[in-house]
Amino acid sequence: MAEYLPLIVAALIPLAVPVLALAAAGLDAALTARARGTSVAVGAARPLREITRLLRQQRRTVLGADRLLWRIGGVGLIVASFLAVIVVPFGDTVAADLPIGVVWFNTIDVALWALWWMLGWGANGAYALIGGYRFLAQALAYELPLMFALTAPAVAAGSLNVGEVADAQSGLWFVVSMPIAALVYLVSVAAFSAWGPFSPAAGRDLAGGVLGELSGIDRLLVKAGRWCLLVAGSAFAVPMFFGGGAGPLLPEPVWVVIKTVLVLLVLVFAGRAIPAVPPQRLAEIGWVVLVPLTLLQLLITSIVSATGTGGM
Amino acid sequence: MAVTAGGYADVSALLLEAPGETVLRIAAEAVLAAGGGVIAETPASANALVLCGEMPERYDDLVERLWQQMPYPKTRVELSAVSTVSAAVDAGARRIRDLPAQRAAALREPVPVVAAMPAHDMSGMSGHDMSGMSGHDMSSMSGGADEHAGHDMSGMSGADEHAGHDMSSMSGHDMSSMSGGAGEHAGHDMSGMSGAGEHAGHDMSSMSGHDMSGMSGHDMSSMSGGAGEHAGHDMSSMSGHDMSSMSGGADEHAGHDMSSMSGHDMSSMSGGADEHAGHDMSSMSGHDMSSMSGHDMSSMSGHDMSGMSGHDHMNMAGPGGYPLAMGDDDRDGLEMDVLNRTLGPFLPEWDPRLLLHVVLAGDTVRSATVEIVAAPAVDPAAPVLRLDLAVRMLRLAGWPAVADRAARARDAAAAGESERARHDAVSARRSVARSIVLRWALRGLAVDGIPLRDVLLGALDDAARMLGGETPRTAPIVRTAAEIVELVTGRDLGTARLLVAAVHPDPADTGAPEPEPMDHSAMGHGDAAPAAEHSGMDHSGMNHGGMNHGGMNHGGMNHG
Repeated sequence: MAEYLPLIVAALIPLAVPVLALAAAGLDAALTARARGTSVAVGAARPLREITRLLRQQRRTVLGADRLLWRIGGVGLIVASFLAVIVVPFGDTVAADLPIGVVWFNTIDVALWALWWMLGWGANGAYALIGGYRFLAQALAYELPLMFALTAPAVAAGSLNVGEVADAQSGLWFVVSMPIAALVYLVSVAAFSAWGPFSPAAGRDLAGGVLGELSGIDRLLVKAGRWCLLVAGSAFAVPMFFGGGAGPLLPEPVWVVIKTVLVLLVLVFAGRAIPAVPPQRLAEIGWVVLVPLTLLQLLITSIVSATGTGGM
Repeated sequence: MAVTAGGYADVSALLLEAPGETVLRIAAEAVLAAGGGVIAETPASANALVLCGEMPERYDDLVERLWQQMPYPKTRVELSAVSTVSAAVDAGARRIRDLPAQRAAALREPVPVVAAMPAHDMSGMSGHDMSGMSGHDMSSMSGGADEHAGHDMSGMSGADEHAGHDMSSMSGHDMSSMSGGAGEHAGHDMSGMSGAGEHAGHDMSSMSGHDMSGMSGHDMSSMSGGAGEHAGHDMSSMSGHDMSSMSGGADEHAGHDMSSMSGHDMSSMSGGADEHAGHDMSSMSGHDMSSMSGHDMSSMSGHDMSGMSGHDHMNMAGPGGYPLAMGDDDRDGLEMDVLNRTLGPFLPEWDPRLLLHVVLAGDTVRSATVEIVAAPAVDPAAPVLRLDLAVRMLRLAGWPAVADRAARARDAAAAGESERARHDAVSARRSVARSIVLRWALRGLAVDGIPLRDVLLGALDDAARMLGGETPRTAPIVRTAAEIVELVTGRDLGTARLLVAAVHPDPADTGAPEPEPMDHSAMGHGDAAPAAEHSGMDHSGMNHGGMNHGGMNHGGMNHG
């Protein structure tokens, strides 16, 4: 039985991630309805209605679209989110227990550059393309800080295996011992999901940008993919910064899910509370502020873990 | 409320506001939101096309294009008065749910393949711009999708006299749109344009007069040649510059000259003869096309038309027959793509009275011309309008959560519930005032010396004050066409949109071209007939001046 557990977890990921994504989208829609002063219940059900609407909608294409790249970008986001979650340990069970799980996650995150850009490029429209480039400008700002933020827990744990990183937090969660890395990581999750302040790639000033020309199932996959990425980023935060499955009473996998939901809530609320950050100004913060800060974090972490090891 | 909550949860509405019908659009937004519907940003994501007020004739083609771009199931809702908005939207929502009827309608039409976005703003290839040209047949060309593109062109041929003119006028913007269509036919129709054989020469000449001159500095002169005789010859002379061969009047040579032109844009256009035509066209920039008119058009077929499009920059047709952007030196000295677009009239959060013809280098507005469409007067100082301005700015600034609160205040104000409106306006203002990120994002942006953040705060403040029976402290900012040009030039698209959203276009100023050398916009007017005199043709105005490239055609194109 035990040898099938990873397979079962792997099979559950494509179900559980979209369910959480739908819940997050429903929460966001409910909050939108509340802000607008309309029925919150109707708002919460809106994503479901949107799914049925888009499933019935004709699949439109665009003149001269680069259909292959466009479709890859469209399906890619949701697939990337599943792939990111397969290295997250649920207790002792991991769908894919890679020795270099941290690098795997980073690889997925870099693939998102291409996927978002392909969405913008494929539509063969000026606004979509500008949206794609906005994402790249944004990615340029968050990517290095994110990589350093991921490096810090790995250095502290002395391993690139996500399970070992989680186990290394038995004394103190990394969110406490390396708060800057944790914060930069969470900001980057919002950024690679093009969520909240990092949504100019799909901005209203670009009439939807990378999303603008999408209809039907293609639109559904991309919108769902965005939320799934947010979920995946939240899930990966748990073993990296929030102690993995550690917690009282409940079994470890349940704690992982609970913590994922809590991180997701933080991302949803924070994303709504902050206006868009112009991508061209983000580089200033990313490189002048965040890179030095994350490097400093890394330095502190390295010294602490080196002296800690030496002391023993 | 006439509608049960959730009645429109399956409605995604593309709201098209007729110039001056802001109040009607606000009412439609409120009704849709109350029923759980959403406002779509593009036709692709919409299932209801909601026309708020009666559209001016020149927008008709554009509306039609947007309708065609919408996937099924879809419906069209026409609103004429605030009192009947609910009933009309209700009926529309019912039509969307009538799936058998929707399916039947969808089966009658092929799966939509449409030009991206363009329709939305006049920009596109799709021929929207054409409409401006109306009076000429161009408008029909727009016809949208790939298939027809060309056909309408023929219409142009119509009067011989114009031939020259129309072409010319089109040149600027519209050419591009024609191309729009799919590559396939494009060409055919063109032939129509050629119109009577006799003129051919004429047009050339006529154009030459104008355009050529504009082009001057370059060799255009030779083109004028009018009659078939010279065609080929001149080419050579022009060589240094672009146009040379265009004259091409005679069928025979066409091809030859091309070569000389090379290096520059026009090179092959001359192509008078049908045989070659195709090739060169591509290289020709917008202007030349015109000259080619008589004969060559036909030959140009397919490929090039599109290329002609923009003025100069756009070159050969790209994927789907759109013009590809041409490179030009950016401010930092690196080469950057340059695109001609028209923003408006139906972009989200955009005043439909405003048409902003821009030259984009990447996402930077290199240069612009503005038209302000005459419309019934709306008092921008009314609390509802002040709040609407805040809503639009907040949405463009990417803060939907607070924009929604401002929209709630706006809708309450429109419904006469002043106290609730005031409360919500104050709440939205508090969020805006507190946000450090918003302050930072808007840093350095100002209209008329007033920081953009203060414009936003002032709109919310004054609305709250007026709703509470006090007098406002600031007045809405009204800007003329020339001032709006100044506002957006050199800005990135996002910033330009925010700045434009902060002001109201001055209804007394139509952005008429006379005083300015670059009358790009001439075409837009629809009465562009005297195009020749208008800068439309004027090379100097448009290409160079407008695009700033003094010499960029040459330089830029030479690379190729």
